[in-house]
Order: sequence, then C-alpha cells, then structure tokens
Amino acid sequence: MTFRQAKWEEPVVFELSSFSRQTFLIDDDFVNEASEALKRVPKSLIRSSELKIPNLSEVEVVRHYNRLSQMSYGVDVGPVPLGSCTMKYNPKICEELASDPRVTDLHPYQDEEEVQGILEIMYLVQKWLSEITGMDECSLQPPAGAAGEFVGALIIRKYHHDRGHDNKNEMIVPEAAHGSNPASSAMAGFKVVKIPTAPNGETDIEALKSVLSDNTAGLMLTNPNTLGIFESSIIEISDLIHERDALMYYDGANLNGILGIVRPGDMGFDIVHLNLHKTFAAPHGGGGPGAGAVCVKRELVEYLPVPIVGFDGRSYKLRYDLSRTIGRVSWFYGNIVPIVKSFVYIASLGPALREVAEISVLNTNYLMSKLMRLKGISLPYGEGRWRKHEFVVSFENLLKETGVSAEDVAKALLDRGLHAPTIYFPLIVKEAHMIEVTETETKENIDRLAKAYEEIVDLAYKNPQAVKSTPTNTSVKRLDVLVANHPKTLAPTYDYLEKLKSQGV
Amino acid sequence: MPHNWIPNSSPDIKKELMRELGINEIQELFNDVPTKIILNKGLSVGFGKPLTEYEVRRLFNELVSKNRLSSIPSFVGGGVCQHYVPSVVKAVLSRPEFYTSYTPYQAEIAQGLLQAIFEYQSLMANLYGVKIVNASMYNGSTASAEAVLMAARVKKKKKILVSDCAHPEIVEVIKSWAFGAGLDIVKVRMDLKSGETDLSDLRSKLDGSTAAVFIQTPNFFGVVESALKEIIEETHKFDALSIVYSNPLSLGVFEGPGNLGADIVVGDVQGLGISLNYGGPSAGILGINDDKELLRQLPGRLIGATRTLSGDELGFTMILQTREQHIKREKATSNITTNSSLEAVGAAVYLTLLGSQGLRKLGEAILGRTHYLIKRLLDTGLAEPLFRDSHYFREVSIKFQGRSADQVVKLLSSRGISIGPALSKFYKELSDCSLVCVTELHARRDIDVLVTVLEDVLRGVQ
Amino acid sequence: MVKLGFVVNPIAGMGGSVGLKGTDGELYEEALRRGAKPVAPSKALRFLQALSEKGFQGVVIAANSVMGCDYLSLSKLRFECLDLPDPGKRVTSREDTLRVVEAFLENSVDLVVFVGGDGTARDVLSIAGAKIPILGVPSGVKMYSGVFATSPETAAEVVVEFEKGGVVVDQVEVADVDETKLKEDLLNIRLYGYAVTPVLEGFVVPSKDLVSGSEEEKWGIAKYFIEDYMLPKTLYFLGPGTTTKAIADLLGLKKTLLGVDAIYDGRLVGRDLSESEILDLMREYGHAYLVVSVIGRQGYVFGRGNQQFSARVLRNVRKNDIFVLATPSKLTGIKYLLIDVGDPELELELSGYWRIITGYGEETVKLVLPACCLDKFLRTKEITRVSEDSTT
Repeated sequence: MTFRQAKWEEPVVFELSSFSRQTFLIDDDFVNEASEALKRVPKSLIRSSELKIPNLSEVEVVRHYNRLSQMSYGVDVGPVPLGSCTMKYNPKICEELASDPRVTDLHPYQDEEEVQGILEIMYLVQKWLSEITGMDECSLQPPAGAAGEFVGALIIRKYHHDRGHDNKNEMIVPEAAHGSNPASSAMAGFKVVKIPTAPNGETDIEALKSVLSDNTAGLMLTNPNTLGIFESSIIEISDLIHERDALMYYDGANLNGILGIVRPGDMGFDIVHLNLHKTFAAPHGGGGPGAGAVCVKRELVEYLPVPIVGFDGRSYKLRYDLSRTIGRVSWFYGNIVPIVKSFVYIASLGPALREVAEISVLNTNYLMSKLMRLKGISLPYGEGRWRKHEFVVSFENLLKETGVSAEDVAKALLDRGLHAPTIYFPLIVKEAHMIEVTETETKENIDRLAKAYEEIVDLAYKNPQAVKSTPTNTSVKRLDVLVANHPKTLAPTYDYLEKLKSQGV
Repeated sequence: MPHNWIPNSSPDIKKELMRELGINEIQELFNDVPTKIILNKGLSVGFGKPLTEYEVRRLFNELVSKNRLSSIPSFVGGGVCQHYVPSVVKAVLSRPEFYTSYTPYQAEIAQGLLQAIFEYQSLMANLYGVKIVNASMYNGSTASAEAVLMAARVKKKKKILVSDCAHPEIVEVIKSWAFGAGLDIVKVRMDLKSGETDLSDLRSKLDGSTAAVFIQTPNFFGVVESALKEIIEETHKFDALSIVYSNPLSLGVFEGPGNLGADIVVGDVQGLGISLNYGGPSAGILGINDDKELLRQLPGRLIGATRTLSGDELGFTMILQTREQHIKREKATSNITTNSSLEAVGAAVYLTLLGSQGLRKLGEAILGRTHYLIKRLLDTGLAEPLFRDSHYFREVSIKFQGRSADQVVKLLSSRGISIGPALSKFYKELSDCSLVCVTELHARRDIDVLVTVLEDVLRGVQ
Repeated sequence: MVKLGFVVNPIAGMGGSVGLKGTDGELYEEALRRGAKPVAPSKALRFLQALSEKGFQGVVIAANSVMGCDYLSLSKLRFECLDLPDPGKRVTSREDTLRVVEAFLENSVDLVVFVGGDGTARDVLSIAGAKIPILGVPSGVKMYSGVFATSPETAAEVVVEFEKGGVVVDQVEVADVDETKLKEDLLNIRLYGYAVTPVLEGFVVPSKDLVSGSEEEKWGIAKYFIEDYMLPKTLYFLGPGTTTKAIADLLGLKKTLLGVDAIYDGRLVGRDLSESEILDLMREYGHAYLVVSVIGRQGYVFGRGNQQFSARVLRNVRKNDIFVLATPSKLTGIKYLLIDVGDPELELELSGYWRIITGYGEETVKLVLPACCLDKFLRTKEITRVSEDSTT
C-alpha cells in the first residue's frame, strides 16, 4: 500500500493575505456606550500596541485550517499504535452526544436545580469508575491523568500528616514508571526513591525491601507495568507497603488490558487515577483535553478534592463537605465534555468492557509474536511472559548491525501510512518501541503493521541509508531538531521566525 | 461478546489470532494474574447489557433534558461566561485529523496540527504582549498555579503575594499546587472602595523575599485594575516577578499586560470560541516576556518552527522537550503531559476568524453592554455596582442593598433568568451581592428584561 | 570561525588486541613484538570523514604527519599544519603530544580533539587544563576518562554542534591506570584531574544521547545532602570528585578535587588525607561517615580513584555510614556498581542494594557487587569490553 500525505505549502496564518478583509461580523449596537466607558478609563490601560491578527474572510480561514487538518494524522485516518497512550477508536455517538448544548452551554455556577441531568451523569460515572477499579468513591476534578497523580500524591501526603507521620516523606517509584509519576511526587513535596526492574520484567522485590523504612509514604505503580507485564507479586508488594503503614498508588493510564478481569482495588491499591481519554475512549485532541478521575478506598474518601457529586435520594448535589479534603487542584468540577463521552462509552458497552481487555491483550500478543520472528528486534525483560495492553521491543541489535535506530524505524513506518509507536520509552529499554494496538485495530491492520516492520528491517540490512532517509511520503521530510532547539534559531512564535528569515537563516 | 467497536471480537478472528499464539482460550493470556484476585463476577456498570446506539441516545436525551437552559442568554459570571461559538470553530474542531490525533511526537506526519498550535502561540503572544506563549495548560486556574511555581523556581524565593481580588477558586488552586514547593502564599487586601488591589497593602508586604505578585484584571469582581502599571513597577523594585491574569476577550480594547511590563501572563481561552462546558474543558494561557531564564522554567509543551534536515523546507516540531516530564521526570518543570491542544487550536481559529478588527469590536461590544447594564441598574435605585466608581468589563458585582443575593438568584432563576454566582458562595460578608455577566450574546432588550425582572424581584424581597 | 586543534597519538590502542594494558612507554615495543597493528589512524580518518560530511565550517590546526596532517590531507576539510613533530618521525612520544598541545594554545584554538586513550587524555589535560575544552576520539586500550565520545562519528557530531553553539561544556574526570601498581599486576585506576569537554546540550530529542545539566544536578545533590543528611558535630570524609567537592563548596570550604578531605561541624579538619591519616581521624572523632561518588565508566564506588578508602578504613564504618552520590548521566548504562578493595570478605559484606543520591530529593537503588567474586568470566568480559570498544 502506498501512502502520500497531503502537502499544502500552507503559509503561516499571518502570511495568508496581503489584504485586510471584512472579518466575522460583530454588532455596533453599543458603540456609544463603549466610547463613553472608554473615556473614563485611564489612557495607559487602553490598547495602543499593535494587534497583529490578520483580517481574513471566512472562506480563507476555513480553507487554511482544513488544509492544516489534512496534514495531520489521527485514529480516524489510520492506526496509531503509541504505547501507553491507548489510542483507541473514538465512537462517533460519544462525540455527537457530548456536543449537545444541554451539556456545552451549562455554566458551572448555575443553580444545582438547573443542572440535575449533568450531575446525574457525573454521579453515574463516579459510581461506574469505582466499580471498575474496585474502589469506593471517585472525584472527577483532575483535568488530566498527571493532575490525577498529583491529587493522589497530595492525598498520601495529607493522610500521613493527619496521622502525625510527617516523617513519611519518601515515595517509591519504579525506574520504568511514566515520567509523570516522579514529577507528580516531587510536586507534592516527596523525595523520590527509584527502584530497578528485575530481569523478569517485574519490580525487583529485593530492591523494594531494601528501601522500605518508616519514612516510606507510598509506592506508585502501574500494573500491568510499562513493559506490558503484569506484576504477579502484586499481593506481596501491597503487603510489604501496608506493613510499613504506607499507601499503594495505582497509575491507571494502563488499565485497558485488565478491564473487568482484575481490579486495582483487589490488588491492594488504595488510590487509583484514570485517564478517561485513554481507556474510556474520549479522543486525545492532538494532545488534550483529557480527563482524569481519582478513585480511593473508603478510608480515604474524605481526602478527595471537592466538590464530588452526591445524591440524597431526591436530587444530585455538589458535595463540599469532605472533612479532610486536599482542596482544589483545578477550578470547577473537571473536564466535563470528555467525562460525558466516557459516560456514553461505558453505557454503550456495559459488561462488554471485558471484551475490550481481552481483545486488546490478544491483539498485543499476536503482533508481538509476529515481530519476534524478525531479525534485529529483541524483547528485553520477561522472557516467555505474555504482555497485556502493550509490549516493548528493542532495536539495539538492528542499530549495532546496520546503524538504523529506533527513530529511523519509526520514521519509516510513517512513510507506510502508519503512525509510529512510542519510541525511547521506557528508559530501561534501549532503542525501544513501545507498541499498543488496542482492541479497536483490525487484524488486517495489525498484519499490515507487522509487514511494515518486516520490510523496514529487511531494508535496514540491505540498504540502511534508505531507512535513514525516511520519511519522504509525509508532508515534510525529516526535520532538523537541533535547529529547532538551538538557542540562536529558536522560533516559538512567528515574530522569531520573521526575524530569523530577515537574517537569512 | 462481539461488538462493532471491537473488530477482532468475532469468534473466527479470535480463533485465528489465538492459533498464532498457540493458545485455546484468551484466559491463558492472563495466567500470570494470581487467581485469588481475578474478578469472579461481571462488572456492574452501564445498564446491564451493551446498548444499541438508538437506546443510548434515548437514554442520554432523557438525562440531559433534566438540565435547564434559560430562554435568554445566561448572565452567570465568575470567571467564565457564555459567549457565541462561531460555526467555523465547531467545524474545524470536528476535523477528525485534529481531534483523534495524539500529541504530535512524530512531527513529520503532524505538520498541520503543529502549525495550528504554533499559530496559537504566536497569536496569543501578540495579544498578551509577551514574547512566548506555550502550547496551553489545562485551564486558567492551573495556568495560574504553574505561573506561580515557575516564578518561585526562577527567583529561588518562596513568598508569593496574591491579590484578594483574584478569583477565589484560582487562589485555592494556587495554594494546592504550591503545597509541595512549600511556598508562602500571602494575600494582598482589596481596597474596599474601589474593589481593586490595595496598593499600600501591597507595598507593605512586598520585600526581598517576594518571588512574585499575582494580579487578575479585570478581577473577580469585574473591576479593571486601574493601577496595573504601578503594581508591576512596585513588584519589579523588589526583584520579584509580576504575574498578570487577564481575560483575552478584553485585550482588543485593553493593553496586553506584557506590554505594561508583566513578566508572566495567564488567562483562559473560554469565550474564544470555546463553550462553557459546565466548567471544562478549556485551555489555560501561559506566556512569558523573556526567552532565557523564564523559558528554561516554562512548563508544558512548546512548538517551534524549524527546517527539514535537507534544509529546504519550513516545518514545525515540539521543542525544548527536556523541560518536560517524560524526559526529565522529577526534575521536570511540571508534571503536565496532556494539555488542551484542541481548545488552543479552537482559540486560534476564533482569533483568526475575528481578526484584529473583530476582536477590537468585540471588546467594545462587551464594554458597551457592561456600561449600559450599570446605567440601567443605577436607574432602578434598588441595585448598584458594589464599587461605584470603578471600571468594569464583562462582569459586574452588584449590590442588592441588604437583600439576600441567594434569594434574588433563585427568584430570577424561577423566572427563566440566570445570574450569579451570589458572592456569599465565596464571601460571607457579601451576602447581598452577586455577579452578573454580559456578553455579545445579550441584545439590548435582554438587558432590559433582566433589569425589569430584577427590579420586580427586588421590590418583593426584603 | 572555529579553530579546532587536532592531534593523533598514532600508537594509541595498539596494546589492546595483544593483551597489553596500554601502549605507553616500553609497552609499545612489547606491543610491536606481539604483532600489534596501529588502530588510531583508522579512527582519525573516520572522525575526519564524518566531520566533513556533517558540514564542519571551521579550520583544523593539526599536528604534523602521523600525528594529524597525514589524515587531513585525505579529507576535504580546511586545515593548517604545525611544524610539530618532525615530519620524518614515525614513532612519536608523550613529549610530542605535549608540545603539540602547547602549540595549540599558542594558536588559540577553541577546542582540542585528540585520538587516543587515557594516556593521551592525561597528556592533553596536563597542558590544556581547564583552559580549553578537549574531546577524545576513542582509540585507546583504556578509556576510563569522561572526555571520550562514544565513537569517531559522535565525536564529529559534537564538534559540529560545538561550532553551532549547541553544546554545553561539562567537567569530566580524566582517569588512568596507575602504572606503578600495574607492574604488581594490580589494576589501580587513578584520577588525574578534571577536563572540560563539550557535550550536546539537553535540548535534543530523546533519540540523541542525553546529557543534560549535570552541573546543575551536582549542586542539587550537594544541597540535598547538606539539608537532609548532614548532622552537626559529626565527621564526614569526602572522597574525590566534583560532586563531593560541590558539598564543600556550598559549605564555603576549600576541598581538594582529587583527594579525600574531612569535614567536622562545618570546618575542614583534614585535606588530601592518606589511608593512615583517615584512620587517625576516625580514632580521634569516634564515628565517621564516608561520602563518595561513582568513579569511571565502570561504576566503581570504592577501589578506583579513592584507594585511600582502603579495606582497613571501610572496616571501621557500617554500610549505612556510606553515602554514594552520582549524577543521573553518570549512572546511564551502568547496571551495577562495584567495590574493589582487595578484601573479598569485606566486599561481600558490603555488597547488596544501595541507595544512591542522584539529585535534589531524588535517590535511586543500585545493586553493588564485590569485584572479588564476580565470576571470573564476567570480570574478563568487563575489561575486554573496553578494549573491544577501542579496536572496533
């Protein structure tokens, strides 16, 4: 299959037209009042500097952005096997229903009686997510997964503080964890203690034991972990942590492979965060918005950020009455639109959620099995173990033998109309590709992906330069990241770019 | 249980995939999960069975019909207000190449999205009068918190002065986020006459240990901080950074805070083509007036222009990623990964659609309505702006002269008009005050109706 | 325009394939006797070719003949030849290297690139000091020093980035085998000093080797150690290295870079201490803590560069009294750390999981192994790996 991405030499919006056209119409009904008001405002506050926004007609604007969209790539165009990102298909019904004005035009400070419908939806989502994770209550306030982690870390911090255990200031995090784990812990004021991964791909329990002390506040873990391997000693790990009066924190970014099969709550976790834009099919929006719920066991409910939605048997209410709440991590009540999408998704699937996990794991292992036949690819850690929602292969041998790197392979995939997986993560695997096809990919596309890898690896041994000079079928060829990042040629806005152009760079 | 969202769930395909793996049952793939924790029941979520699209649509309709939208555009304020969302913005944001894509890690296949975010950064930087704006934060409140943390890192100081006139929920968010860094959040009093930040209180609290001063304008009470320039200058005298939160819709009329000397600017794109969404999602604006030290500490993603390795074409890519958590981890400037790219693109589309002409006119349209509302209120003799001589934009804090604002809000609601929030929600002592918001959506007759009904209600309330 | 000083030690690396620990001094003759072939010239050519392919714009100031210009004449790069060494000279010596680097300084080059191993690095450092950044193209038998790029091609990449301004300079160790001990068949790695070397700045995608802000990390480690671990009225021995020195710097104390110094209650109570002086102080103060950094690319905690912390010294402390500091970049690619103090029983006793301080509020757990008892195979493999690198 050949692939050619659209290539419009689309000017930056500031260069679209040299004319100033009539733009979107705004009424003149209050010009007199406006000038009256402006007369009173101190001069220094009134805008005198240039507003550098082009004045375009509607058709120019629409074409500009549609052309840009054609030079982009999402799940609705083809597979996006980014590991740890769970780029599943986003059902259109979820999109349509969530854009209902009875959702999007609601004001967060409207009287609760006027918004019973949305509160009921939020209440149900809280309940469902509690059931899915094996927890007792959820807050939907965190606007994304990382904010959820931060909430979790703050809960751990406050929990120990309230018990007079301020000495508990160490958060244990595996080396292979998502980068946001240590970052969130540090933001909550914890010391971060990293522990290695054992050769079987699981947490090194001996290393864990060696760092446990009275100062241990908690362990942040994702299970299945970032290698896609299920931590089979999870009960022992939970016991070790709880014996030290510390808490178990579950990074729920990787829940897709265990939905309905095993629950974090039953594994011994006390706090879970979820990325609704991953497991529960809210689209990723080119980088956001997401939505991140935080769910906890009974003894931690009072610590959740406020408000959560409660039901008194008659009506739904925003509850601010949690006695030990960590406060707010964002204004209002969370990213409601993605939450509504996830509501429609869960409502539609119901008990079929288990099918999601089964097929995503089946797809993962099927692709892994096919890739393991190829030269130059290895599967570090956990030999002979099934993976769950994702797997991580290494192109270290390919690099040594041909000079073709994991990044080169990724770019060659783009040329075949396939998005690349996550590369160079987790950091414990050299030349890594972290691959997650999810349950929404067809067998045909998984086969295509395997075939593409095969072609690329073959080519690497025959003509490495041909792989290194990819991509050529995308809108642009490989970009110079050093120029992009160099202090002298840094151009994060059009003003910088114009200046560089005028200097002939 | 085969499902049309799960293409390989048909039994024959499953069988074929399992053959490749040499297994007979999918269960075997979970043989490493301890049996004692395997869930031995079905999840009780949803409505007992998978629903068809028409079933779920019907169910959803029943739920959302319990939400009431007022017949005339909402007057509710409090940091976000109902504005018009142009069809063009909706059309662009529903392009699946945008909304179903991931963060543009593979730049070559995501040039369009990258260029759109680059344009957002450029447009927003110009609007706020700063050098650089990042690719977005979650919303205005978290952008504010990140701004405070950034200022503390840059200045290596812990004291942060926050205006008491800022949105109380923003202040709460700042406090939560600053917890780990051990920052000392000190409030600067409001001048009770003007509803602006009290300059003399600010002076008395500013000292060498101050890392930053956080000001919002127009502030929570709708009041324009008329001494903004002086506040910024005072701040700089103590080697502290000035952080200014402002409403982007006001900047067609009011000067960009960066042009007045603000070091860090923040805001929220709600209103710039982005709906209320019951509070979220939106996108947070975060910009800086420096490309060295502040840039090193700027959290979040940043898109930059570059060229192809062959040197002949312009392109865009994510830059300065080492500041981000997936590489720098606990050293990262923030833990943020997912942000609000789609809303940022929406805001860019909106700004492009309006152009400089439209944005200026929009600012005037809102300012004119604000002025008209105040005039009409004063005419009633029953209500007045909480701060009579101050300048308001979009929102007005209104005093009902002793009458319970909670009650007034409820009574208006029962007559199909939404105003609020009653300020008692945040300040006990302001029990007879409420916010009212006017935007381009409000025709003259809408404001007239509001005032007439309000007058009527106020006469009935003691 | 960037001026690049370029010098090749043509005999560097010859000993490796014939089982010698180096080619310094009389070992060269022995290498020749054993049939060793030169390896440096091919490394030099690879480097220069990559440099020209990557579009280096500057000028190369090169040593004469076999020490530089012979290879440059085969490249498309712009270059100038020094009249050192004597063109007729086919066998060159340490002195030649020293004189060439002196000439580089006189010509005010911006960066010195040398092709060689640890011995060459020491020689270049002894003249260049911290005045000019130096960068090694790996071609030695031993390469314990931090100035080496991972391959001739990466060296070229670093130089091109140096030219564009896209690098930072970092302080790195120059270490070498102690030849006096080598005769006694002891592999004793000594720290000879710190060079400044260019590293690609952190502002690159993760696919590139990421060396970011290790200078900043050092201060973070030092600050964290002082705030969180240092006790008043307690004796601390700070081992060699820039990370441990950062602690003293923050306390306003002048620590030796390469020696073991002692601190008590914010005062320096011993500088550049020998084993017996350390033992004396321990007796005098009772209890003491040791603070060491990880030395060399092999990850030694004890036994390389800090032999003052002998088995006798270590017998006086408990495992918990030892703090190990290391910047994350130092630990990249190191699977486990090593102790080599020539006392198997002690080494075994000390081995296990250790916490390493890697940043402000950041620690990591590493397995520390006894050098004595890693099985023989593993040990030979570790040592030959280095020589393999130098011959490929």
